[in-house]
Amino acid sequence: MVERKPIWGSSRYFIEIEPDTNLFSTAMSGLVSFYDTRDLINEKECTNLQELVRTVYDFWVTILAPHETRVARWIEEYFENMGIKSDYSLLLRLIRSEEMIIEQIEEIILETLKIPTDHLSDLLEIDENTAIIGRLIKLQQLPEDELVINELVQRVLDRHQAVVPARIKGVHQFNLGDEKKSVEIEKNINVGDTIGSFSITSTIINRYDEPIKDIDVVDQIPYSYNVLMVECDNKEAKKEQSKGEDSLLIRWKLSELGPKERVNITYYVKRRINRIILEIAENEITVLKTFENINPADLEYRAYTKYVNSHEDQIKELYIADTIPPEFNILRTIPEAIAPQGIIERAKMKGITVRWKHTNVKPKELIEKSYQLDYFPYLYRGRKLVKDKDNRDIMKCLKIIQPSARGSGYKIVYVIRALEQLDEMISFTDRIPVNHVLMNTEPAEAQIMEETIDENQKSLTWVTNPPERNQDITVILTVSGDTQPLFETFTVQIGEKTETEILEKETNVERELLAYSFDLPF
Amino acid sequence: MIKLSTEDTVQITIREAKDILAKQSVEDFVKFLETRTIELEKTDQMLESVILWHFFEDTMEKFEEEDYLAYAYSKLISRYLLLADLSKAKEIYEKSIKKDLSSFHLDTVRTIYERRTETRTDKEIVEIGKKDIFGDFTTTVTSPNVLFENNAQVRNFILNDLPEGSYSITIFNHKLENTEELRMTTETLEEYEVISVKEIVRIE
Repeated sequence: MVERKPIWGSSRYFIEIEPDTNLFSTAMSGLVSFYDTRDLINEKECTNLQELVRTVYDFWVTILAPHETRVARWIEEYFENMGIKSDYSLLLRLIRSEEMIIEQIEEIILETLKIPTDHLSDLLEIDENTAIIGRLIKLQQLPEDELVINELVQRVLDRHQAVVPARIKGVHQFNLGDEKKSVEIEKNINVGDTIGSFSITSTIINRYDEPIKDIDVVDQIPYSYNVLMVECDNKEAKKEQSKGEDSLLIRWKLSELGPKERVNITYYVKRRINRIILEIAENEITVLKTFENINPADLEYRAYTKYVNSHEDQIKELYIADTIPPEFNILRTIPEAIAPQGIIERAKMKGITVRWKHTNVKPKELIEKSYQLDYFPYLYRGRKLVKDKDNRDIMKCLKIIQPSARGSGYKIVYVIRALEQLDEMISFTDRIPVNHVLMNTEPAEAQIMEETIDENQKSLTWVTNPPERNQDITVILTVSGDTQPLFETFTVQIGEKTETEILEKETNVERELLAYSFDLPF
Repeated sequence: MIKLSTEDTVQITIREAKDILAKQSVEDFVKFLETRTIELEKTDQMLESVILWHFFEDTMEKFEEEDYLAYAYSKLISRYLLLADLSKAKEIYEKSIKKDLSSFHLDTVRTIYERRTETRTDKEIVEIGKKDIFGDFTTTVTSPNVLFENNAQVRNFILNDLPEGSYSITIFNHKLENTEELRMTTETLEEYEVISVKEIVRIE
């Protein structure tokens, strides 16, 4: 619970800290606000604990003479009231701007080497389409100071965190006459049909006026993504796959492609859990990066981890840090994550990480964890700007899908805003799964027509008079169904005029803080 | 053991600081002075601390380091407020405004000064944009025809007089003759994983 707490020694000035996470660490970010009696003087988004602590301290010394220990105690007490266990000595060191810790770590780490990990794949039972990325960090000596060890662990975890890209790389090689050509192309990872699914379209195009030959295309799908299905519209194309350093390499070979011909390849992918295992010994840290599939189990999802100490010696400290894909929420962990051994960090706008710590892990000792997951509250938001043939913006349209928090179903909201005077009827055409049922429409008199398209889908059409210029018209549909809604954009028609061209399209998935609330009885 | 006078301590610190600036970086110089001023303030030597912050101000002015200069002004205003020397605080406050300096800490200290001394900064809201369902800020709220003394008053106005929402407020500061934008949310926000699709289409 965030509270507005007076600074000690003043009855007029207050500070409020709203951390983005429940886990106390140097990476802790949050909002710090200052108040003069009840009035907000200023507020600052701090990106880490050092900035947060310094911001509180700087405000404090504006009002009173400096007193580092009092400020550290005040912050410690503040976090304690929120149920966050902090560390007084770390707070004090940060207030005193001791960059010593960082300098010390730079001195401790001697070098980082690549290490083979093939022998570990079977032992850790990892998916055959992923690899283990291994690094050995040589240390001068493991520091004795626990604060420095914690900071070192944090630093190594941050440095080796898998970056989930928004694009993949592809290398296209072919012969044009006698000339050998090679091009590197970036391909977008697009939003899929349902929550948590993505698709990547890889297109091979012959842009020349003569055939291209011996075509060899390699698409690099990062291990953070699990390839569920691949479609290719050219039967001649031969597919091979192999494992690269940090990506699955999918190779396509084609003997020839005629002028202006194209081949479309679509990969359907889902995200995996990114895992970092740290095996800490006296003079070195072994870093193992692995990737874990998330599989459906009844109405929820499950992921399982297996770790075995493959060394001949006991491991002094072992960390397993799992980054859960942002579309998921953790319902339960087995064993239960209880601090300090198991910590679930829920960081605002960032997602969830689970960190396990084990000490004195014996050779061949087996450690297992499993997660029960469900989807994080999500929203689908499709925005469309409509232009006329003279390139004037005439209408803005919006579609929102908001799943029900209670029942199995969701709401669809359509909004039209006229940017010009519109005289003709407007219609939206959309699709929903065939077994989903339209339960309610608000306003009740809104014209919605349903029609079955095929065995999987049916169409929904909303027909309405146009709103006045700069005015909105909204309709809210309540749909019942125990499967996922479809993340489709609708098509718009004004009178007889239809969509003729998509001028721009952009898709992305990210955390946002929103105030959407469509309070309808469900 | 010879005990150094306060004057000597300050002079020695200034000499050492000059030496650091000549041989090391500006960051090292700032760090050194910060440490020394904290030590002085802990022993109630606030005046000596102020002398060092003035020295810091002069040096940063020569170096044309605006961020550090803003930092020096924020320290000086707050130190003079602590010493209850309002005329000196006013002098530095006005100097900082004339120099068009701005930083998070300086803005905070200036607001504290304005509220303590009831100094008007004559802030006028020129535009209020409210976030609509499309996620865009649209001007649907009329700006009030009054001058606000400081940002705290502007925030209070948004909080108390406007319906819940997320706002973008453009403020014209008559004293500085510049505009600033304030973002503020007075509604409860929830975190969502948002799958967003944006299209621009032509219709014929």
